[in-house]
Amino acid sequence: MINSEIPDAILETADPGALVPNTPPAIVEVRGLSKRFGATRALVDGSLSVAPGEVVALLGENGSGKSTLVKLLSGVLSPDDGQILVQGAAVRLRSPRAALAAGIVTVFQEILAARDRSVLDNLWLGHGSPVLSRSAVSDRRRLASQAWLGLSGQDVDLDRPLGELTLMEQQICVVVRALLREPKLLVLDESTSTLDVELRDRMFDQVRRRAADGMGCLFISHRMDEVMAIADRFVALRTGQVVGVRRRGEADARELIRLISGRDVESGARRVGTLAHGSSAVRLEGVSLRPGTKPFSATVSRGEIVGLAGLEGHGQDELIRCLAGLQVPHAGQVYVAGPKGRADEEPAAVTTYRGGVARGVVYVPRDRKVEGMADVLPIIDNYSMPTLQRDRFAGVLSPRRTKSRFQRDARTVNFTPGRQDSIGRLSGGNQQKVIIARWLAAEPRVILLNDPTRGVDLKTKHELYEVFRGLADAGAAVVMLSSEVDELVHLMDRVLVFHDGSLSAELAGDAVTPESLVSAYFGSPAVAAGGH
Amino acid sequence: MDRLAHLPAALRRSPLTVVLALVVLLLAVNLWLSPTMLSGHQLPNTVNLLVPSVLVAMASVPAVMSGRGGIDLSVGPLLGFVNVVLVGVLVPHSLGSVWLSLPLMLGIGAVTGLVNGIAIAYGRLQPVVVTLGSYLVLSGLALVVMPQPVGVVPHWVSYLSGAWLGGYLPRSLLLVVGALAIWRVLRHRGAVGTILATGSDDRAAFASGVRVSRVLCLAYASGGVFAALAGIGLSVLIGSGDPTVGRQYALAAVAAVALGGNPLIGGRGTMVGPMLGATSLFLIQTMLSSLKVSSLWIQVVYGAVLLAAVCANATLTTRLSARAKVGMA
Repeated sequence: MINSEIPDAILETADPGALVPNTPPAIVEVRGLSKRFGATRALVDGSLSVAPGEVVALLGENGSGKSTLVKLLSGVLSPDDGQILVQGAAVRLRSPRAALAAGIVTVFQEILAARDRSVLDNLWLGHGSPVLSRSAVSDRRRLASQAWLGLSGQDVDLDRPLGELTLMEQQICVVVRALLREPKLLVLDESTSTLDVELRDRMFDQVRRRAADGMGCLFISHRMDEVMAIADRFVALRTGQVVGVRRRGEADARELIRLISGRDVESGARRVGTLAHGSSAVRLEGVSLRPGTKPFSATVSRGEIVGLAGLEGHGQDELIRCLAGLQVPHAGQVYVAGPKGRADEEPAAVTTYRGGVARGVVYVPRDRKVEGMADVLPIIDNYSMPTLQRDRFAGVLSPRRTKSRFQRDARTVNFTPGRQDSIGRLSGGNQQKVIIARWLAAEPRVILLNDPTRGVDLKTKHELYEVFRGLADAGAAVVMLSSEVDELVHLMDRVLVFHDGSLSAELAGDAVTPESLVSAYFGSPAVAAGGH
Repeated sequence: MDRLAHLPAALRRSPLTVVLALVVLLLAVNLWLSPTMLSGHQLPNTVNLLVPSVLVAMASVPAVMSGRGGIDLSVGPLLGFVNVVLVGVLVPHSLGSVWLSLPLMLGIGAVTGLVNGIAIAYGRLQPVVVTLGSYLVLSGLALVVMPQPVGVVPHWVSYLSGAWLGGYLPRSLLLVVGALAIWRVLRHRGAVGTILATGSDDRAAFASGVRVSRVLCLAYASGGVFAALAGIGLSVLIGSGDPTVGRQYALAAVAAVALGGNPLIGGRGTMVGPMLGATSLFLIQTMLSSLKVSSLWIQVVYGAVLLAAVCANATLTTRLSARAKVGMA
């Protein structure tokens, strides 16, 4: 509220004393906050405020200082310099517990939850006094199921271990947990990335309702459509500094992207393949994913990028796992063309992961932390893991060969090795680049990508799109599961949309529009005929 | 009737099934070999032998539950140290009365556990290294205090070696009841829940406002208190001080925890499971001695049973989770 009145240039040096008096006190105000890690200045003199009832979007690429600011606000890190004020009073947030006590409740980018514990335990984890009377326990149950129902529109078994729930339900759990704490300021850091469109809208409703009661919200997302939908004000960060503040209506998405990136990024334009589609690489015959779902057939040709889409849990995830040989479809077969890609080779059914790998199928999993990488190992070891045998020279591994291969493939994915050694210290986007480079080394013919740009900033996303398109142009068949409408529209040659475990629509070329996708998500038959 | 119908399913789901079956089986074999084992005449001796093992298994539980590689190797030597301090220090200085010696010994246990917990939580050291260090320190201190087995236990301790109801209610069970009471209080106060949540994902617990370091200290301190109770149980059993026996309990306790179905990565588990685990290890020992098998074979059998039980538990769990997944689809 306050900062937006001040021109950008003054903003960074804003003297608290110069602030206009008689404005209502901000719920949370941050003044001149700075944090450095060694030589890196992660946040420089950051200032912003959130007024009661206001939703402020924090925008920036990976490494722009967003996460640092979130960690400072949530008590995970302590600032080197600067102040945090809650309702006008300076506070020191020494721990997450202190931040929660001050009313700042954060939903972190990663789903932080005790998966062995029940849903109920997780919802109240760390909250208030652990000594509870019987009536307090039943109060907690009631409040928890009400809040869950309010957010998701569905009931939940509060006694189930959280680990048995889907990723999306786990995400609901951490959001409900935050809402149950009655936050003064709710910080949502990429909390929508695993939610489907329907749930995301429900979550936005909840946030607006709470905001109407005076809650402030700091909202962080890489998805421009979400940001434009919910935020009253936008604060852009670049290389640790606040570079601009805009009110709703003052700037369109293009303008915001320019602020964040410091340059114009082409956006929205479709980028289709240049190669005439080659021979079929993957053929699905009479595949039915679950008992009772309608069987379907489809092919993916070399040189094209095919998107798999749908609301979370409607079958697209099962399909990509079937393609990878990680699971077998309920009925039907997945055929993959021969390893040499010649016409005289018989396509073979893939039923195991190894069988797929032998035919040049590679799979980049969604949860790279768990399934994709060894955090503590050096980048190069993460890169060379599946292809290390190629670097044998006279029976002995040659590190020099590995290195030269890595340099070549890193260039292809536009990854510049920096000073960091272990992959765990890279940003999400760069981790994904290394993992994709790893599979490039295996010279894949079919590349399966399970939501590869999740939690990746806009600039890196576009770099990854270039990489994927390059792979397709080089003759690979690319199948990519995506939960982001913009991405599907921007990148895909064709999109297979799933609803309730079966193929609900096949959209191709110009028929891939946000409207056609979303209505296919909900199984609308009107668009289902929009194939080619 | 309805409840009975559900029993088999509930049993199959429980992590206790394997260990419970093992205890029942071993008990049957033992009774067949020596039918008088549970008679009023023999029961107190049997129970007195069992109590230290059960308590030291309980002492290992909170550390393992707390996760991050949590384990407390020092509980074995700690029970020996408590025994030696009681017999070698407190009794000679006429501090042997129950009102003085009991709180002092529980205090020694709590403080030792707390020191371990502080080193692990605030020093961010690995539990196995920290507790191996205190294992060695306590083993050494026990020998310094009492180079050879000597001495007598105070009156209240030898009183505990007897029984009520004609031998059918051994008084040493009071120690186990005490430990269970402490655990129950911790559970009721929500402490067990936070220990498990911390063990499941310590970063999630921290971010949710759980004071993770304090929780870890509490876990190790409560383990120390149980180990002190085990030390009293040992004193009841041997009636004197012995600086070397404590160590033998250390690894058997970890085995009991695994046998009881508690995963060593933490975050899950029960208290009853490891108690039953310790009981089954004890019953194996009595079975082998009834069969006149050389005691040299005992460790071989221990190891084999442990591996078999852990495998059985793992198979059961994977089958169940596979079924759960099918159910979800």
